[in-house]
Amino acid sequence: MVKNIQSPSTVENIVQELRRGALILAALSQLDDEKYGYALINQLEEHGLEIDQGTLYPLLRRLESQGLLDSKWKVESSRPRRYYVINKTGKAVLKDLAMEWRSLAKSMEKLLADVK
Amino acid sequence: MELIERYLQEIGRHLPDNKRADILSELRSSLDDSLEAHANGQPSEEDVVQIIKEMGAPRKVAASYYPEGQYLIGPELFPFFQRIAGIVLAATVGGQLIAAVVSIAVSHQADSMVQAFLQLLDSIPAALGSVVLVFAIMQWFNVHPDSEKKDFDPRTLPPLQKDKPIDRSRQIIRIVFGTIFLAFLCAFGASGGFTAKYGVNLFTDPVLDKYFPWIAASVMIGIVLDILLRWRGRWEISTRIAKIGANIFSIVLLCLLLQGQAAWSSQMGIGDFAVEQFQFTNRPGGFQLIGMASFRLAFLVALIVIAVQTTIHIYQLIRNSLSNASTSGIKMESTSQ
Repeated sequence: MVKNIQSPSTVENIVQELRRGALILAALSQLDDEKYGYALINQLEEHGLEIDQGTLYPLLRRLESQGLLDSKWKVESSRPRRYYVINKTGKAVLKDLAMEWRSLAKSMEKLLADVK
Repeated sequence: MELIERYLQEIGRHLPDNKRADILSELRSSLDDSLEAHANGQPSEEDVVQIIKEMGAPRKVAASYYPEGQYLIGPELFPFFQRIAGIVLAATVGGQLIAAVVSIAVSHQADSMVQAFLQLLDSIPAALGSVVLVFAIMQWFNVHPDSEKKDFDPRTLPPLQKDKPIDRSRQIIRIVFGTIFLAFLCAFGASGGFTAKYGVNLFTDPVLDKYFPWIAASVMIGIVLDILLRWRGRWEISTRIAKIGANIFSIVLLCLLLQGQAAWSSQMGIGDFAVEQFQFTNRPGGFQLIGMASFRLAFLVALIVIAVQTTIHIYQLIRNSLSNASTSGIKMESTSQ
């Protein structure tokens, strides 16, 4: 017997897995100019992509430790903020990732054409 | 914004030491940005609760900062594992310590202390190994603690700690040196007491011999407390009370030792001061007199140091209790209004 109805946490986990890679691409694509985390969240939201702070900040740190982003602390209007910007390696990786994404999206569109 | 500080404090408890300060600064700045955008200057407590809820439960936020990959125990389970491992460790060590003290009290033999120490070394890896095994199975079947599924309410976060976090590396040094000292004590105890030999017996300290198991017990309690502190990361009311209790035990022990030494000196027909005892160097057993005097001086210094330390702990305990009482008083007032 096939179990059709999955628990909400299972669906949630799959959605998270699906979003994980996309969020990396999204964050890298918006960091041509240096931005702090909250400004990046707003910018992604403007493009219809919602991401919570608890997900974005660790993601930015991981990208930085992987050598794709640079960061520095700046004090603006008496509040210190950490600004992130994509570096040369990050730009090269973004270019490859974008190409991969487009090819994947094209294939997925075809595969999902019959799913209602 | 006490609620934000309490929230950050709780996240910080689960973050790696080397990144904690930096991550917390960034989260604080982000929470401030969110509050400013949502509340326009004058945020209510409800706004703060909302913002914190959006960011997520402290353990979940902290877990997301650990690297991804294949885990024996993953980041979501790890804080829960730390808590359970701590409880199991405390229960194992505490239980054996009580058993050791009872056994010494009954038999009054140094060997009991050595046995207890060796048993402790055996049982700690066994107990921790069992916990690791259970959590590895939970990880394999993707089981997560229920507490994570409940709706997180920031108002239930623990109050802000008044004490600064302890220096963890210093704590490790204390544990290592304490253990080496305890091993020496046990070795001395097992080899027939405090007897320095150079061809013939130079001196023995009958008072030290008499109280040896209790001295070893006191050192062992100190090591257990240091392990507990290293795990908790800061002084809390429970650890402070335990430390005061352990110190009082040491003070009583040192007083008994000093009293015993004084009784021994008067039995030998000499005065109270070490200088006076040096005059006896040339008489038979003179070295024993010097040795006894040195021990006596060391006990006195230890007594003074521990007494001062205990006074500071008592003062800080009272200060923190008073300040907690006044904070909860304000909270009750604001609730009743």
